[in-house]
Amino acid sequence: MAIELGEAFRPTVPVFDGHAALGRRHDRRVRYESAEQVLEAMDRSGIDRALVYAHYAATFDTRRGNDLLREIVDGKDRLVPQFVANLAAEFSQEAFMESVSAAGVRSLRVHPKDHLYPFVPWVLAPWAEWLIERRLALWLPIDQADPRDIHATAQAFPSLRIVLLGVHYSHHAVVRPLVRSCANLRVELSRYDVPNGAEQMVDLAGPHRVLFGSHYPDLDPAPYLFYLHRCGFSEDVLRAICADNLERLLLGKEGA
Amino acid sequence: MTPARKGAARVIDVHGHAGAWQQYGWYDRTPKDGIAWVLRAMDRAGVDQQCLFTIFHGDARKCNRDTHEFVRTHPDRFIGFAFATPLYPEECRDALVEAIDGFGFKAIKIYPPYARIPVTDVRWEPIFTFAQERGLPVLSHTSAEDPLCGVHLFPEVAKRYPAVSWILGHAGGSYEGRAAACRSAQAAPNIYLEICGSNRDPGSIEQLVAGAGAERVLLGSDNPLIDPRIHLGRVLLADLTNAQKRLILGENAARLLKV
Repeated sequence: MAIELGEAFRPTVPVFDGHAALGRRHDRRVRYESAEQVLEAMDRSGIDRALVYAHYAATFDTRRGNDLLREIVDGKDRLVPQFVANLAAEFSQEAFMESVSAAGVRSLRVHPKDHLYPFVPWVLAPWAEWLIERRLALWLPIDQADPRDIHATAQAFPSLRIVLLGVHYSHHAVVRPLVRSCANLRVELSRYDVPNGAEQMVDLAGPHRVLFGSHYPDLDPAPYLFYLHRCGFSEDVLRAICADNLERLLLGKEGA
Repeated sequence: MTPARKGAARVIDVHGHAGAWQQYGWYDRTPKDGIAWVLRAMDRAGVDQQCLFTIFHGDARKCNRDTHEFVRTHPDRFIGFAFATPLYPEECRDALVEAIDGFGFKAIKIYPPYARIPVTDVRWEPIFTFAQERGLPVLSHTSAEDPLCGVHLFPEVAKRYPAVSWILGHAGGSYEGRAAACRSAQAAPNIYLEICGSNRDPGSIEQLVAGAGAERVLLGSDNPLIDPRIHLGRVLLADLTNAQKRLILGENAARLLKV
């Protein structure tokens, strides 16, 4: 493939980003913090919609952070809110569940390492019935849990769908056996940059367990979309990765 | 090698590895598999020539012979870089002579984190003196503030060895590292910045061009650790002129490596 200069690139399929953060951080400046800035960046990269969470909810306070997220995305249909849950410290589990329902939130993100609990079945157990009954999928940064705990929890709750975020070449050795042994695990691709990594993951897990994420504001997603469009995927597979798989997860239409 | 078609750019990737690192998915069951693996990634990305080095053996001669296994099979596609380690200073010159004069390698790769010796340390002298005598580029792994190979250390070294083109691999890595790498490039005219790494934050290529100039920025991918298509995309989609992109994609490397 010769490289031609001056060719414009836009995604040829709808793109629904499965991994984007909003808001300021306490420890460094971020390039895109407001909804408007993220929307502008999405326009530049050809991203139609994004699943977004609030940094603050992950780092300090889920309740205030999730409220902040609702304020930020209010009236912006292209930004789909995702709440962060602290499975070990929600003061009122019932109140949290009600807030999820009231906000129409269809997925939760957990940060066990930052929130100082292990991602193990006995921590998840009080939540599992509700999550499975409501068909709420769980987003988990792979660095936030021991792979043995991910395996044990995924095996303990096979109907619970878990999306592994930020999978990187340093996780290559564990992500493949994890995905092979737990059919309810999904892989978000934003940092998975090993050669032919997306193709290999599709071969291993099937096209319906792999999804695109931007990793805003830390990464520029356009080069990864450029790469996905040069993997030789059929249009159906590309659509599945770029939007449809996430859509199905949020609609709860997909089996484990 | 010139591009085959009008509008096509010559693409030289200056950062690639020969050898195996199984835990990161380098499927080098045999040298032949490794060669095919690297070539496939190049072909799918549109990389014309891949610079390669091996840094994993404690014996630099063994590293360079492994790299030569790649280069000799496809001399039109692979450009060898010699490895040398200050842990065995008595072996450096012979290893470099074999690689440069015997195998036709075009530059030297160093990896200070393995040697655990700062690039400013006198123990690197045999390697750097050889590069200075021959006018060879030296590609070093770098990061933002590493005491061994932080980008801030290189102006001093670059001034001591002015005939060497110093290529800062990963250009410091993070946003802050790239900013520091640009300051180093401004401080020494023989410092160049190579782009590969996992920190693909928005505007990273434009940041390097604004800070150091397009003629001082080089494409690298870390193939076969990282898919070169992603780093090609970073350059091609950057907010730069086509002339600037040509420099980064290959013209700068061709000039430095004399290929």
